[in-house]
Amino acid sequence: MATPVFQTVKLCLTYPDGTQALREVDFAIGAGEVVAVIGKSGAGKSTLLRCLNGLLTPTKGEVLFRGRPVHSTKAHARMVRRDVGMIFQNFGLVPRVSVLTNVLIGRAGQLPTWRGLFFWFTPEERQLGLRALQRVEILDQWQKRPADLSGGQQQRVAIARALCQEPAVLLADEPVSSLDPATARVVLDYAVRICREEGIAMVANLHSVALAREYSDRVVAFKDGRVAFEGPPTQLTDEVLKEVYGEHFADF
Amino acid sequence: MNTSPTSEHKPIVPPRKPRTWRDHVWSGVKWLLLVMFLAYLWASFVRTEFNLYTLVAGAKDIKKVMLELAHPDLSWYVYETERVPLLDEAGQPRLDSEGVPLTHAVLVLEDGKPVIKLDSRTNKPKLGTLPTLLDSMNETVQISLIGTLIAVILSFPLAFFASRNLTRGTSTGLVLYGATRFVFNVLRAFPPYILAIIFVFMVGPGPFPGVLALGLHSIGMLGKLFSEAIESVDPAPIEAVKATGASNFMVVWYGILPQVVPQFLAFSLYRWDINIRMSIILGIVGAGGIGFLLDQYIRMFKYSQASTCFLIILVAVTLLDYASAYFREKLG
Ligand SMILES: Nc1ncnc2c1ncn2[C@@H]1O[C@H](COP(=O)(O)OP(=O)(O)OP(=O)(O)O)[C@@H](O)[C@H]1O
Ligand SMILES: [Mg+2]
Repeated sequence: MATPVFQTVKLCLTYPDGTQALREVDFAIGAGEVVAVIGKSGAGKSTLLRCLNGLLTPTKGEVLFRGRPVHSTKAHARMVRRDVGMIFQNFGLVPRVSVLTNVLIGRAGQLPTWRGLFFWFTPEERQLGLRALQRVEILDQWQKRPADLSGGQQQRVAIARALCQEPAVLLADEPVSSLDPATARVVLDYAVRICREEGIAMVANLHSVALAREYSDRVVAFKDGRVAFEGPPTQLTDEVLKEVYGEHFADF
Repeated sequence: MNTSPTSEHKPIVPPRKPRTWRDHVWSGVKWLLLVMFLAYLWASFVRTEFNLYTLVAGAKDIKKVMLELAHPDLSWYVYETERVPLLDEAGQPRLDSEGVPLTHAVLVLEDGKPVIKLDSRTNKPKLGTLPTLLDSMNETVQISLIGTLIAVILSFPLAFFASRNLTRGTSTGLVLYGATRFVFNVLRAFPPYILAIIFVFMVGPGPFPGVLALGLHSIGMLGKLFSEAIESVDPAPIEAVKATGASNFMVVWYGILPQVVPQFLAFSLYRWDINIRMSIILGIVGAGGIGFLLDQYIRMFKYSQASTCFLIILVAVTLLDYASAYFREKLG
């Protein structure tokens, strides 16, 4: 395998209140790979994603993006974030501005401040945003406000915003947990298909084992801040799931 | 805990933390504070000489004033003197070139020689109470407008530094937070009335000290309201914008601003609304506007003119109130 897009080396993160969310995590994702991260609530999945793009600073260990440490300086962590898209369970769309503006906010990292100040985007940037909206097939909604869209549509806008960054990786923190099962599939379909077509790597925290099995090349299971399992979905047996989720787990 | 079937009929006692001596002291302090507050409340009634009998007894003295107040002076023109036209030989009034009757003979110098001339000046109507007061009401509105505008422009950037959610974490942030909060508190602590007195001393009487007093006081008020709006924004978009690699400034601009702009506008309108009424009061200390004239009229016992003031203020404030409410609703 060539240099992984992301690699963590003995990554530890302890929150100020003493919660050890990550304990010596070694994790890697190759270019264009789709990885599903599963684990019980509180296992440290969200914490991992926020460490990867530098929103959280690890207490020990290192995160490498294309072989370079992410957390060397705050400015560098910011540079990394420009190349890393992220989508969230609650979408994180900016209210009261149009769908297109939301998508163009994906360019915020690249935009010179004086243009950002006036929400001034070049025709090329607008084309980029419109194309991203076209890819998730909600181009016709571009003038609406996020509040006027359904949850599924909102998450597609968030995907378009991430695409607008032209990222190397897409981090997805429970992207479909607030959607009904049918919509969840539609949204995940868009994200995974586009990532595969564009060669974007993807790390998705998923609550549904079925979705993890179906969409990923590789599954990483977390338990109490450690990697408890790592391998292709086919190796995700009931024993493994019982180990990860505890005795009360029933496959659904 | 007893979970046998018989315990089902017993009332449920929710688990409580055992009370420590601290809890006892604290509840004692709370009772003490309550009693002290009630005593203070009683003392306040006494101190303010709150007495309904005095109020009723005083009502009959004010009857004359009330009668005059009920007759506002709504004249558009006033004449300085009685118009007694000078007559010519035929017994007809003498008119000047504009056809206004000549009323006075005046002595003027023409090429160094005194000459008697006839004059109509004092016979020309002057603007009466109503237009004068409308003009100074307009000045009042303009004072409040500029004062509010200045406050909005200055408190807008400061409010971001006074928000806990944006300044948390770094020591510079903490210092900025403390400093801006302090400034806001100081500015709010000075009543605009006091500020106006100071500024009248500094820059002389007129509308300008009114603008300065309202502006300064409103910075403190708006700064506080703005920063509280910023503190209650949804953090999700902020994190999402941060994740794009945006600079801190851009995170604020894209992640927060769209969330707070409607509230900022509503607060500013509301502040303007308050400032219009405030600027009437400020006129009394010489800070321009209709309040200045109102004060003069009352001091000179010109109650029907004062009544006109009240009428204009009532109409103007009501109209602006409706306008401001309408726009705030549009924004909300
Ligand atoms: N800001 C925080 N401060 C303190 N502890 C935190 C904070 N955020 C998360 N934690 C703790 O860290 C641990 C890991 O949390 P994390 O959010 O990464 O879990 P998760 O796997 O994403 O869970 P979920 O599936 O419910 O989202 C949990 O025990 C949680 O209580
Ligand atoms: Mg999570």
